[in-house]
Amino acid sequence: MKEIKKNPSMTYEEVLQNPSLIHFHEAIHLLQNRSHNDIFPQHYELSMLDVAETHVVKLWRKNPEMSLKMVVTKVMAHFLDNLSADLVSKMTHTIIEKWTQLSALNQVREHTEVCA
Amino acid sequence: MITDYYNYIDIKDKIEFLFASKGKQGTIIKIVSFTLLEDNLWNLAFGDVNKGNFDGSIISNNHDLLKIIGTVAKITYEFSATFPLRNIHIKPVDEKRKKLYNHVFRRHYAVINATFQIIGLKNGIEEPYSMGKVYDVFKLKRRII
Repeated sequence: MKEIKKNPSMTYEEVLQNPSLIHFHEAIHLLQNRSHNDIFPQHYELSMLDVAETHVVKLWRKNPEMSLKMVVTKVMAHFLDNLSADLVSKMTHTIIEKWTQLSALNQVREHTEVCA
Repeated sequence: MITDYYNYIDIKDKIEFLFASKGKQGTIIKIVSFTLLEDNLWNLAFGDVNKGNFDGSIISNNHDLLKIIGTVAKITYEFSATFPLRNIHIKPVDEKRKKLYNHVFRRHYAVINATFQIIGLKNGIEEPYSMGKVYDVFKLKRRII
């Protein structure tokens, strides 16, 4: 088997034309049939939800009185416009859930302080 | 310095890489991919080609885990050296990988920290990485010298 040079940079076509790289051909065929974001869609989605959650926490620390509508708008402004409707819906749900959770915690804390 | 790793191929402008894991189960093709999440933040994902699909959660049990981790780390350094201003988001897909990633960061903290500022995330809260804590997500920011 012909030895490939260490860590080369190749196009899909170059890999497909190289018989010594035949074990990569199935992967290349799969890659050719999907967009880059769709290689690991579940992982991508989970990561996007994480990032959205992080922005919610940052906003809450700055201004816990912010309206939910403004929170959603501000968080979503960080992301590209080409997200799927399904992902936008899930992110919006995550943002609302996290904000509600943080607000509830805040209310419990305030109530505890008043009682103490 | 990473010494134990597989040779890999960059197949898409340093954002998609392939390598072959060779072990007890035979040759398993792995893909490492960096995907844009938001401005300047790129998600690192890797997995197998499995039954005509990509699978990021599979445990292939090829008895070469350290070499696979070494390869993913080597690719991550290459990505970051090419795009030093891009931050890297590392999200474990399940509890097993979460344990593994936390272990890797604890064990190799000094080496990783020399090149990257490491940020740990738990419940959406970011903080500078602390070795005694377990994190849900890791973020790497390359130190610009």
